[in-house]
Parts: sequence; structure tokens; C-alpha cells
Amino acid sequence: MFSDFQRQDDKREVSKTDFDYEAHLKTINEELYKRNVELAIKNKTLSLLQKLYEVSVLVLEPKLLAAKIVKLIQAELDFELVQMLLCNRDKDRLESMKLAVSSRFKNVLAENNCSLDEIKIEGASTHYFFAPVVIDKRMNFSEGITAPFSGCFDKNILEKLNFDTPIKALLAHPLMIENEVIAILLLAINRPYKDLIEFERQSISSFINVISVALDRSFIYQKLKIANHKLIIANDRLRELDKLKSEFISISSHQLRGPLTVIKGYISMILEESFGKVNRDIKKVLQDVYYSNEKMIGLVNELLNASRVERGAVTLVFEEGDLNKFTAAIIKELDWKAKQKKIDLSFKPAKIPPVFFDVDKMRHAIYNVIDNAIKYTDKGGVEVVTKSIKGKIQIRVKDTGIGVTQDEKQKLFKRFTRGDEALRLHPEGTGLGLFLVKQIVEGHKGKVWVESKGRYQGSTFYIEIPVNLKLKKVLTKI
Amino acid sequence: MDTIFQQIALKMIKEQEFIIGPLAWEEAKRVKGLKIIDAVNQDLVFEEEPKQVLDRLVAQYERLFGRTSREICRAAVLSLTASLPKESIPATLQ
Repeated sequence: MFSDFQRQDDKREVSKTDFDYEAHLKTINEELYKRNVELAIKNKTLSLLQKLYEVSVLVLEPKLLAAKIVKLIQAELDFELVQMLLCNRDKDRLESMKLAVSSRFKNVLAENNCSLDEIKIEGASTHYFFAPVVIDKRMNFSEGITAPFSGCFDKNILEKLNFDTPIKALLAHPLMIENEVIAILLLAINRPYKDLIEFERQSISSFINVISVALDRSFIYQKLKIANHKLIIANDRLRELDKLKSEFISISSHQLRGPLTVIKGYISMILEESFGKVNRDIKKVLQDVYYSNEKMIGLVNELLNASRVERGAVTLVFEEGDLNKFTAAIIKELDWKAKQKKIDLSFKPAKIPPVFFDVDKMRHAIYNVIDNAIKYTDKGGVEVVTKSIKGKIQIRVKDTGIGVTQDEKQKLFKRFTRGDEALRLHPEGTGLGLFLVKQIVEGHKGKVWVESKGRYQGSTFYIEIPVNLKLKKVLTKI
Repeated sequence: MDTIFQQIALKMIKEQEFIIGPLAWEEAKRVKGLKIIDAVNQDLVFEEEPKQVLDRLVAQYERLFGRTSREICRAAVLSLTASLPKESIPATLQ
């Protein structure tokens, strides 16, 4: 008997457990479904964000970017209208950038002969609907479209549009960068605002920042593009002016050189007394005139050479030669200047192989560097050394003169540039000498540079040209 | 061109598919009056009165996953039902 009761109790226990188990499974199933819903919403939001990121990465043009974004949001969320309005602060106006509409709303607009494509909303900062978005930087919404678009259409048309439209709520979100509203995103749905589903709410709050950043980036890109375009135009203009300047210098120098050479010739003849006896006082004056004229011819020649280099009108003719003999001749030519200044001018040639160089141009370059060294050295002297280093011939001109500051080193070889102290001591220079030296040496595939410990610490100029220069008897334009 | 009711049915199934996977289509196949012609190409037809069939489809999901699934169906088709007169909207989706 006892065992019968016991069995009945066991049965009851089993059936009770079965019942709880089923209900429990259903509860678990429903809970799992809820979790899945949350995940699905997040998944959809992430998917939308990913698409927006892709658009923002691939598109840089603001209007195209706006078009892609509004189209994507409208299609993904099935909104009636998605529109981007640019915030024009200077004109206190909102201007339509791009919009995407549902086929339903498109039909309504067409039936009422209305378009939102080019709308401009004036007085944004005082606008009944948009002011809170622009000024207070917060989202605003309206039931229907009357409030946002009042002023854009005739009152009767707007009322009819509002009656026909499927839009029940219109949301305006500020798109901000650095606490500044740069644009407004309008989102219109065909149901009341409270019926916005969770996915839509989450999506909107997620993509607002993404769109702001993408839009800001595209505006920066546009500004850069405009600035770049202006720079290109300015650069072209400068190049044109530079060309005109070079031509002007070339023409005027040519015009100057003729009379200067004539003056030189006649003064020379007078000094040689070809036209009769000249008294000592006049001779002295004429000698000064002769030297001044010589300086002037030098300057004009420098200007002419610089303009030729700039126009690419200088041709180098390479010949094989001994750079030691060549340098020694230049030093001999300049020796009197050193003696006049009572400074030493020495030359220490090393054993170097023959090299190819343009005799006239290289003479100009080496002469210029040594002449400068003498010109800007009052005590001590100038030492010229040649040596062969790893397939290159180096000419080193070391002086104990005014030296070169760090700042001057950067610009000394640029045109019309002179050191401060050099300008003070010899104001008549053109600032083209070292520019020409650089052009000539580089035309020989070589390099020129200066080293100095600073003002009044002396300076050392280096000219280096390759030994195996392939430009054998070849013409090279510089 | 799908009718508005076909669009509603498809949108509900696709939304459920997003949450529970292909099971959404299997459950839809069990609904009386709804014929799934091709789940891959999302093709279906109503063999009975669409409004009632849609109610059954919602009930099918609700039986398995509870009240939440009904809310999901309703929210998914809000943009479609908004354009319908109230009497045409299935009771479960109102």
C-alpha cells in the first residue's frame, strides 16, 4: 500500500517537473529572442555605420558626399526624406546640399509641382523651427512639414503639400564640428516621432557624428583644392613675371653693355694718349672713370649670365684639361688684388687626374669664389687647395675673412642674395655671383658649398666635380 | 510588382530572419494561406485573404518567441502600414 502511494507521489513529481521544464524552455526561448533582437539592432546599426564610413573614405567632394550619404540613409531606413542643409553663417541661411526622397513623397512633390532640391531657408538664426538647431545646437522635430518649410513655398501650396504628404514627423539634427553647426540633417518619417523604432533611434544617434566628421573633412578638402588651384595660378603668373623679368634684364643689359664698352674703349684710348697728350690730373680722373666703368661692365655681364641661366640659354662645352694649371692661372691673375690688400694668396695643388670641364664657365666659377675670398678678407690670407677624393676633384678655397653665419649659409647660393656683412662692405654687388657659380658647378654634375664657424671666423668654399664625367665634348644646357 | 501586403509579409519575414536566421522562413512556410515560392529570391503569394494570413504569420512568430516578436513585426512594417487605412491593417500590426 505504502509503495502504491509512493509510486503515485513519484508520478506526480515527474509530471510537475515536465510542466515546469516546458514553461522554463519557453521563457528561455523568449529571453534568447530578446537578446537576439538587441544584437540584430546593433548589427544593423554597425552595418549602416560601416557603409557610411566607406562612403566617407571614398568620397571627398562635399556635394557628392552629401548625395551618397542621404541616398544611403534613405534607402537603409526607408525614410520619406533625408536632406542635408548647409549652414551658411555669413548669410544666416540654410542651403540645400542634397536630398533623397521616397517614391511616395516624390510623387506628392511632383503632383504639387514643388521641389526641395534648391531650397534656401533665410534667417536661420531666427527661424521658428531651425533656430533651436542652429543656435542651441539641439535636435528639433515637428509633426508635418509646415513649420520647417514655411517661407519656402506659398502658404496654400504648403498646406496642400502638408495634407498630401506621407510625412508625419520631421527631425532636424545639427551636424557639428568643434561646437559649430556646419550643416543640418533633415530626416522625415511617415509616422509620429514617438513611433521611431529602436534601430532608427540608435542609428541616428550613431551616424550623426560620423557624417559631421566626413562632411568637415570634405570641406577641408574643398578648401585645400581651391587654395591649391589659386596657388597654381599664382605660380604660373609668377613664372610668367619671372620670365618677363629675365627678358627685361637681358634686353636692358645688352643695351647697357654696348655704350659701356664704347666708353671703355674711348677712355682707354684717351689714357693711352691716342688723341693727344693728357695732363696728370685728368688722367687720374679718367682712370677712376675707367675702373668704375669696368665694375659696371662686370655687373652687367653678371646680370646677363644670370638671365641666360634662368632662360636655359647657357650651353656648356666640355673639354679635357688640367684643373691644377687652370686654377694656377686664375690665382696668378688675382694675385695683384691680394697684394694690394696685403694678404696672402697661396695655392697647394695635389696630384689630380685630368677632368672634363667648360673652360669659360669653370673659370668664371673658380675666379668668382677666389675673388670673393680676397674681397672679404682683410687680414690673414686665402689658401686654395686641390685634391682628389673618391672619383671627384675638390677645389677648396679657405680664407680668414668675414665668415658666413648659419642663416646666410642657407641662402648664399640663391639669386640676388648677399650676406649682411658683405652687403655692408661692398654694396655694389648684384648677389648673382654665387648663384651663377652653383649653376655652373651643378651643370658639371658637381656641387658647391660653404663651411664657416660664423662671423669673422673665416670661411671655406668647396667646389667638387666628378672625374668620370660622361659629358665628354657634349653640349649641356644649364 | 508586389502588393502592399506582399511587401508587409516579406518585410516581417526578413526582419525575423535578421534575428533568428533561416528559421524565419521555415516558420513562415507553416502559416496557412501563405505560400513561400522561393525563400532565396523572397517570392511569396497569398492563397487566402492577406489580412488574415498576415495575422497568422505574426501569431506564428509570437507563439514561438513571445510578445517581443510581435513588436518587431509591427515596427518593421510601420513605414508600410502608415500609408494604409486603419481598417486594412491587420489587427496584430495596429
